[in-house]
Amino acid sequence: MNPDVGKVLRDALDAAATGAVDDARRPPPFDPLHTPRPGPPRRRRNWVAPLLAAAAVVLVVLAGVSVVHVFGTDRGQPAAASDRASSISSAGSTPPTTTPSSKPVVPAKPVHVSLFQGDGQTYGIGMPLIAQFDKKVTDAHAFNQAVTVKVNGQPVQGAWFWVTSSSGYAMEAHYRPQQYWPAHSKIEMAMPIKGISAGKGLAFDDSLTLQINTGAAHVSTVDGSTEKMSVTSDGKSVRSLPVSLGQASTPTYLGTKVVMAKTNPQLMVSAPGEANPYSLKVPWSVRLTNSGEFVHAAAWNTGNIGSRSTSHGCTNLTVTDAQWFYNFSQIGDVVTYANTGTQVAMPSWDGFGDWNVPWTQWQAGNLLKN
Amino acid sequence: MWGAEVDVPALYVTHWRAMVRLAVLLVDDVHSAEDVVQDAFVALHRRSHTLRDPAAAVAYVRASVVNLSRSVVRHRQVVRKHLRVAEPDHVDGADFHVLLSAEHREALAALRELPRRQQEVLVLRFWSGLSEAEIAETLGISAGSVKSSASRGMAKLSKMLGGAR
Repeated sequence: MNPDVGKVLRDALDAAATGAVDDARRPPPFDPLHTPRPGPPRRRRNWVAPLLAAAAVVLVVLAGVSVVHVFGTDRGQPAAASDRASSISSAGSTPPTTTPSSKPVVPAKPVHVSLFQGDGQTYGIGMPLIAQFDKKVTDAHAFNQAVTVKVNGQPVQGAWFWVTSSSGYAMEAHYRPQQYWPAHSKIEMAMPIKGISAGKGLAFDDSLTLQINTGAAHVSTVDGSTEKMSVTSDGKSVRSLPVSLGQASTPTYLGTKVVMAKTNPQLMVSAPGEANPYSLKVPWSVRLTNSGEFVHAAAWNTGNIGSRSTSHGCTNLTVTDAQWFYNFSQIGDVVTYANTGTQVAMPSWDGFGDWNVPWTQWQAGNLLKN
Repeated sequence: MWGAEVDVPALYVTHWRAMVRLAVLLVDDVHSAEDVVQDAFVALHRRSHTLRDPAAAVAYVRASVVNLSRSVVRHRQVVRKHLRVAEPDHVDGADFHVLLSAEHREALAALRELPRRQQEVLVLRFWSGLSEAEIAETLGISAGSVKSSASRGMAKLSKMLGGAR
């Protein structure tokens, strides 16, 4: 056994476990009547119903046959025999004409939808629309047909991408067009899905609408080879800011990131097991990934900003520049990264990594088929 | 009320976090992990009259967590296959809100490449810190299988992590 690999694995597991479930997380009250998860047990139950239905049909048929047999039916009295058969079967527990395909017995389970965005808000041009579901949707077809998105009154050829939620919901769907949204525009979404199918035995239980706006087109390009960040607004270059990106051991992800949140100051804590642990309140922090990449002020790193990549993955700016970028940024703005010393692009699930999924793959729908 | 029997609510409070962490390493998302742990403690609650020893109770919960996690992952794979969906590049880590270093991400990704049994053995060995005998009991396999799973798993990990450098 290689002791190094063991140590790396131990540290990685430790970091992942503590990162996913931090010390502040409290157990929900213990509930001995907790109903088991939907999963294998529920599937078993699903087997039982059709079997019962089939058994009922067999009984009905048998009853019919035996009645016919007892009455020795010839051409003479078929009506009487069949009347008899149906009255026998209706005396049983199942209705007389039940066939396995008649289904309205079990009401569909409700799937509740909520939206990440709020009406009337203004976002950057990279903002995906995000719908959150309290149960897993298993079929997206009815949803896709019902939901419409318009920009300035014109229908958009976008698509929904179905993902596991990173914020506690059972599932999420992200909607985006092929290119960024147009700037200074009005986005309207109608989601009249109440009562329609979300898959076998599932139906949406609410209908929603959303109206949001896009602001100026803010696209910033960060280049690790020059340690510079070029900021543009509506296509015009606004500033060029010197940066320091992630060092070789903790490189900054490549690809297209979207501003998720702004915090001043933001508490940043090292991953457990990291060689030089830290816990800092960092001013002027603009969040780009769930895993913890920010664009932020790094007064302690001034000597390297503009010349060398020395951070833990964040984009370090001088305090003045960081304050400016913080005030300039809107949620949904786009920041792209090139030459960061890694081949790894930001994963689509690590925040609003939606633009890193190729368009054809996006249209396919991911977890559900579009 | 509980008398000599195992005090399940007390065990729940004490061991909940460690069990959810174990589950999250096996199923890769916090939501499923919490469900798994709830179910494991419910199972313990049902059996509490037959268990007298808190240590045995913890071992019982741990074994339930490993088994239930395996079912969750299997169910997920079946669903995915059934829907004929292209495997997403990463299924793991969706909600690891932490500054995981590249080295750690790489190690976890490599771990996910191993057969299920080897993953379980390595997580119980390196994260839970169990002995071979304890792992054997948790998984219901022989000590020899634990040993061979661990060494095969480690060999593959060394190769993957060494090769990527």
